[in-house]
Amino acid sequence: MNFRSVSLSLLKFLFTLWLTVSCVFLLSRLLPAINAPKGMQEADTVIYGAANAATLAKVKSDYLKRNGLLDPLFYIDISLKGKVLAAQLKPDELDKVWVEKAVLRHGFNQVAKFYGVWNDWKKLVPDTVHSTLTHHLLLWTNDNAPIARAAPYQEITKLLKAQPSLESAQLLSHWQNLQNQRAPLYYHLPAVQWQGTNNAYHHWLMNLLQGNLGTSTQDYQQVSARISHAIGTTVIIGLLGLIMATAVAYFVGFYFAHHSRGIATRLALKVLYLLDSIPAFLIALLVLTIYVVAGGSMLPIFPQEGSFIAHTASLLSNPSVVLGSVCIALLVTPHLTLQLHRSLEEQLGQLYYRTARAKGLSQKETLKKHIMPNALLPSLTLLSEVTIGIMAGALVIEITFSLPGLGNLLAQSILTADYPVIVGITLLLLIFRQVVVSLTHFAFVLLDPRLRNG
Amino acid sequence: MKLMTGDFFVLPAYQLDPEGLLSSIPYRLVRQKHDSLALTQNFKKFAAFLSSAAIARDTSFVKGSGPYKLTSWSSGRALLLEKKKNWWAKNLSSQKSGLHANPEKIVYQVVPDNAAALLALKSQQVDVMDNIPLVSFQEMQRDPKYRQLFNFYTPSSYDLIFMGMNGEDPLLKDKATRQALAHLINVPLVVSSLHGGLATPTVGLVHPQEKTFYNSELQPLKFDSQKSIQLLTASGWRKSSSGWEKKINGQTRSLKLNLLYRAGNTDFENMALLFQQNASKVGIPISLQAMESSQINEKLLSRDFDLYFRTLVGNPFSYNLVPLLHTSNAKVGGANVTGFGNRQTDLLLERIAKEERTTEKAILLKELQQKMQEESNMVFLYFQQSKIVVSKKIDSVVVSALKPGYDVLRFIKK
Repeated sequence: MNFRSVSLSLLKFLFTLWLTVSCVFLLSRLLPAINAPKGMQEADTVIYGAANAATLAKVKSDYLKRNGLLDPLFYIDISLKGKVLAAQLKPDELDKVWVEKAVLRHGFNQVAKFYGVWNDWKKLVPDTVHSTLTHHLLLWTNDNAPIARAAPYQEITKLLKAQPSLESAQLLSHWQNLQNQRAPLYYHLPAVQWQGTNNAYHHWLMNLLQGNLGTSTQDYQQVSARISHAIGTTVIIGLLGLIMATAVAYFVGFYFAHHSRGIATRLALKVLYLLDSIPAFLIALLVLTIYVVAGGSMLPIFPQEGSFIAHTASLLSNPSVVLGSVCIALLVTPHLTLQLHRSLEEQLGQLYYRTARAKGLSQKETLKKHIMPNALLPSLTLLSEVTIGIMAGALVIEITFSLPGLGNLLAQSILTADYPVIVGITLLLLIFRQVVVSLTHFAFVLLDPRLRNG
Repeated sequence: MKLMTGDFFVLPAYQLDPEGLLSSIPYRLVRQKHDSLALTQNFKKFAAFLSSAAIARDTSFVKGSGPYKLTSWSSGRALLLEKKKNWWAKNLSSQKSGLHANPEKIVYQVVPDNAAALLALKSQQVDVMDNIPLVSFQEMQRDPKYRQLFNFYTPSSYDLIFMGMNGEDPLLKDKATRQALAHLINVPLVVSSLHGGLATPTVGLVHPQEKTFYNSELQPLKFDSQKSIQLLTASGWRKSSSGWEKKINGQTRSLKLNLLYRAGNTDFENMALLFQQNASKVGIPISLQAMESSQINEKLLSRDFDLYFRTLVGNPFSYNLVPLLHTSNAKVGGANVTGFGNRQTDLLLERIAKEERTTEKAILLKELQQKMQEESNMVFLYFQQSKIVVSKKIDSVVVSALKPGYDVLRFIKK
């Protein structure tokens, strides 16, 4: 383990972290609901309050500008050379589609002439003529095969011939000239454009590095504030549950190895297999039912606001938190214990065990000094896997016991379509997972001398 | 329908409108011109002030003129409200004023899991619960042990379930086709089998209990396959070996439709299956698409759909249906997703929005309901009924169609 290998591992970790964060950014841009403010999503389901289409469009475009959704996506933009040239003509939103296609098919110069006359022509003709011609142009754009394009081409020619003005005649002649030109092939080559640092990815990354994950659309709080309020409960029930489960797994595993032929061992193994197959929500409901039937109260306890210690103490004295940790322990113990048991059984079959016994060590001493350390190493990987998997269990348990933890927050934000919070929590969980995996790998290298020397 | 304390929010202006913006504008102007008002600088600033996090959560800001103050809010767990010591209406007679404030303390407990919530109710740890799943509600009603402990209420709500059709789609442009599809829904069967009878069928978007405005002369929707076939034939559809066909814009199109509904909603899923069954008997293949709600919103706003099931949230106080039904909002992006309307209905909607006199408004609304039933862009099925269970320890229970469905301020714990 030298400086070089440590720094390489660190670099690898940072690179994977960056890749994860960028993937989450891409996913967040693919969400269907980011393109309109939340209240506008279900405009057709309320009888009161909604505005007319023009106001809705204005509010939506304000929202898009405010949230940087109209900015370029990344530092560089790759598009066809022809499209880059077409952008020089500065076409309107409506005309952009067919202008780009025209440039790609027939070249820049001719389209520039046509578009110049078009801008003057459309001011002089009635709206219906303009919109019909635009409609035919869009049809002409969509049909890629030259044969299919013939029909809209004829329609456009016919329409322009029917107009009496001079501008229409000019437009028609440019239109007919257009069809005789073919754009050079290099228009279809990719062109890379530098967009600068005013792009969505850059803003997002900078905000992330400063801890700004956005604002919740549910109650306008900062996402980081909502997550930090919720994370305490989850950490407490997760940690307590994990400690309980690890302790039980260790002692019970030890007992199983010591009394591998006993009736108690065989019965306990069967119980553990059964417990492993019961789904999490059922375990949580069973525990809650037993608690309520035994006279427990489900009434909420308002936590003490104040110092961190007072807050934590009040959380720990909350029966729901204790029950939650017990449920997490019940979820995780069978898997840990059974794996440790299998690992111990494997080690018990090794020759060094027989040597140790032959040398005069008791079974208990051999187990403690020699077998356990070897059996624990694979359990370390298992422990990291279980730590990551506790999140899923925590979600179910927090919902059942109505604990205001991260799992409950995630479920609530999915149901209320609070996308900033969902993205924030997903990011947090992915980073947590990576950190745990890296720490496990590091611990492995520290504990196992065989890995230390490559 | 009984009005409850708190149906109309009375809020302290010094707290929420410190610059007196609203007091300077007459109410009629706000009602009729709220679109243009919303775009002014003053109102934008006002909106930004009201949309801040503090107003949503801080107990020093969350204040009303009602009898209770928000003492503590444990996010995701519970809210505690305590009676104010010097409430301005303390000495008014509640009989005359309708302003009640019986409980000293109210605790709203948040229980996200239905099973856990029912456990809390059955073990009498909570006194009132609403939005109970149908099967559990019916089971509790049948059990003599719970009948002794609880009272069961099913007030109607203003949540209206309807089927929408895309009137701009060439297949559905003709209203006879839409009427034909409307006759394939068996509303009485849906109400009895999916809701245990706990839903109120309706002919339009006015609740039947609004007797002044409800058009009781209109016939409710009847399930009739023969009528459906007649209407399709009258619209120009011809039955062939591969289904119904019609020449539209020079091309032969066959009648195949997709039906969207929100995923996870079992009522919609079951209704969709029933509709698919009825339609297949008549020869119309319907493909069902369960989608997440924001995906449905996108499809509806971009008019990329044929049929859909949705819930419309209404209230009996406001009938400004212009944003929902006016043709100016039928463009892509507008809320009139079914493309309903013509010049006549537009004028009708504009008159309804401005009309303040009840008798005239009733005539206009009844005409609108009749026109909507004819056009069948939106086929209204039924109003949902809430399922509320209240402990017998609570006296003086009043239920209402308006949310939350019960008047907690009248409750007296025995």
